[in-house]
Amino acid sequence: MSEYSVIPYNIQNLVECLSQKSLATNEQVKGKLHTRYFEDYFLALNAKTVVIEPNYVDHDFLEDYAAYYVSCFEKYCRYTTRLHFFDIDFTDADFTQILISPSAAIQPSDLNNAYLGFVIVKCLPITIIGRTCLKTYPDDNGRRSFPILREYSTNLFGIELKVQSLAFQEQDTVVAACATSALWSCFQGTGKLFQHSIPSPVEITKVATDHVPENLPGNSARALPNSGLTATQMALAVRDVGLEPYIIGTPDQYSLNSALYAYLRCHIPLILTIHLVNVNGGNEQLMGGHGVAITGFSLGNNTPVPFGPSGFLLRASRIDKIYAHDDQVGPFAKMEHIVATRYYLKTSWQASGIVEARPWFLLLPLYHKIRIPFDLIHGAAIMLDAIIEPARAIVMPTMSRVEWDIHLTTVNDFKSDILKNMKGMIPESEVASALTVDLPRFMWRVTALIDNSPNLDLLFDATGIAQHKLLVHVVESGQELSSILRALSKNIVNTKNAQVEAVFDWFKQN
Amino acid sequence: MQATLYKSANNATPFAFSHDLIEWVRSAAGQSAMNSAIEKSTLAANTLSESRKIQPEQLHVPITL
Repeated sequence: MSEYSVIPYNIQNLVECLSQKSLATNEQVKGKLHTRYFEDYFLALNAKTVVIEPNYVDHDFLEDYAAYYVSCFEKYCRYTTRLHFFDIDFTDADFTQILISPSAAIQPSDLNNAYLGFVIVKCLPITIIGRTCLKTYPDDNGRRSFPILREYSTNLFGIELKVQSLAFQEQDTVVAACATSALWSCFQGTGKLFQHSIPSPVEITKVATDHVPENLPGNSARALPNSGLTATQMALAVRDVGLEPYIIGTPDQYSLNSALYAYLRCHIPLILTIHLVNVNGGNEQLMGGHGVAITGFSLGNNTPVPFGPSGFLLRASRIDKIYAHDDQVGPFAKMEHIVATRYYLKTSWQASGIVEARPWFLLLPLYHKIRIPFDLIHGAAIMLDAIIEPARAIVMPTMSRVEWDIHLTTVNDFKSDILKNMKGMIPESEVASALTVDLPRFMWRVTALIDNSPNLDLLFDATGIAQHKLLVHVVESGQELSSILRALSKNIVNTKNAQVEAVFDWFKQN
Repeated sequence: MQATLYKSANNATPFAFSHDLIEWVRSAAGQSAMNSAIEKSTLAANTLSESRKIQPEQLHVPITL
C-alpha cells in the first residue's frame, strides 16, 4: 500500500518535501532557481494543497534509469515521488473520505476542477525535478496565449485528473543537457500534433550523439554523460522522430516575434537558442549557449512596432514577453524583451551582473508537408501593404492603417474559426464559401485587420511549391481592402512576386 | 458578390472611390508610387531574410548550459 500524505501548500513545505524525497539537502533545494520560480508560480496559481504520491514509476525516468543510473556503483532509486497540486484546501482525513466514502464533502470531480497539475521528484542529488505538467498562467483577457497545450490525464488512486499543459523537466546533466530537455518538451507537443512516438530524454541524447560533433575541442564527443548538443545534433534528433528541422536566425526582436508567433499559432512548440551573457558594468562574460522550448507569448504592447521603410505593421510585433520551458528555471518561464543599448531577453537567470539572454536562432520541428517558409509569405504581405498604403492614403485617408496577422494554420482550425468566431460578423456568402471550399491541410493565413477587426483573409497553400501561385482562398470580411485591391488589380504593374500577383489575379477574377 | 450584412470597420462609406483610384494608378505619380513601393518592400523582405541566415560554423557551437 502506498503511504500517501496530504500537506498544505506553502514554499517551506514544498522545499522540505523536495529534499525529503530526493538526495538533495534542504539548502540545495532552497538554492535552486526552480524553487524561487515555483514560489511565484504557485502563488499565481493559488495553490492550497499538495497530495504526495510515493513510489511512482515514471516512464521517462525509468528509461533514463535503465540506460545510465542502473549501472552506477551507487544504488539510485528507480521510483519517483509525484506531487499533485490543488487550489482548494483539504486534509489527509478529507482525502481518505474522497477515496472511500460516496458521501464525502469533496467529490473526485471537485478535485479534478481544483487540479493544478503535478511535479515528479527524482531521487537524485541536485537535479531532482522530473516530468512536470502544470496549469498555465491565466490568459488575462487574451493577452497571454499558450497555443501548444495538450491534455495530460493522470490517475491518482483511481481518481481521474486532467490538466492542460506541456510537460517540462529539468536536465539531469547526465543523460540530458538543456538541448535534450528542450527537445523533449517540444516532442511532447509535436508527438500529439503530428502523431509520432515521443522519445525519452536518453533516447533523444543517444540519437543526437550518433553524429560526432565537428568541433571536437569545443564539444564533448561523449554521448553519456552528456554535456550538451550542437544545432546539427539537435536537428538529427528532430529528423529521427520523422519531422523536418528548420532553422531561423533571430538577429532582432522583430525577427524573433514574427517567426515564433507564426508557428506557435499552429500549435507547434519551437526551440529558441540563446547566448547567456553576464554583463557587469563594462565587462561582458559569455556564460554559454542555452536552449529553451518556447510555449507561449504575451501580446502586451498596445500598438504594433512599424517595420521597414514602409512602416509595415505586424500583429506579432505587439509581443512584449515570451514564455518558455527553461529547464534551469521552470515551466512557462517569462522572458521579457528589453531594448536598451543592445536587444536582449530578461530571464530569471542570476549571476554577479545582469544576465542578458541574446537570441541566436529558432529550431522548428516541422511536419514534412509544411514546405513554404514564413519568410516567403511575410515578404508578400510587406509588398501588398506597401502597394495598398499609398492608395489608402489617397482614397480613404480617415481609415486606420492595416495591421497584418500572419500565421500558419490547418484547414480544420481555419474552418472552426470561421464557424465559431466569424459567423454573423461577415457576409453569409463568405461564411458558406469558406466552410465548404476544398483547402490544403496546412495554410498560411494572412489576415488584414483594420482597428482590430478582420477586413480581409488571404489563405496560401503551405504545402505547395514556392515559385507557384499559392493563394487558395480569400475571405472578404469587410469591403474596404477588397475594394482597393479590385481597383488596383486592373492596373497594377508587374510586382515580380508570385504571391502578390496571385492576390491581384484573384481580385481580377472575383 | 458582397452581401450587405457587413458594417465597414470604421463606419466609413468608401465605395465610390474606385474611379479616382484607377485614375491615380494610371497616372505617372501613381505608377511611380507603385514602383517605389514594390522596390522598397522587396529590399526590406530580402534584407530580413538575409539577416536570418545562420553561418554554418554556428551550427557546431555547443549548447551546454
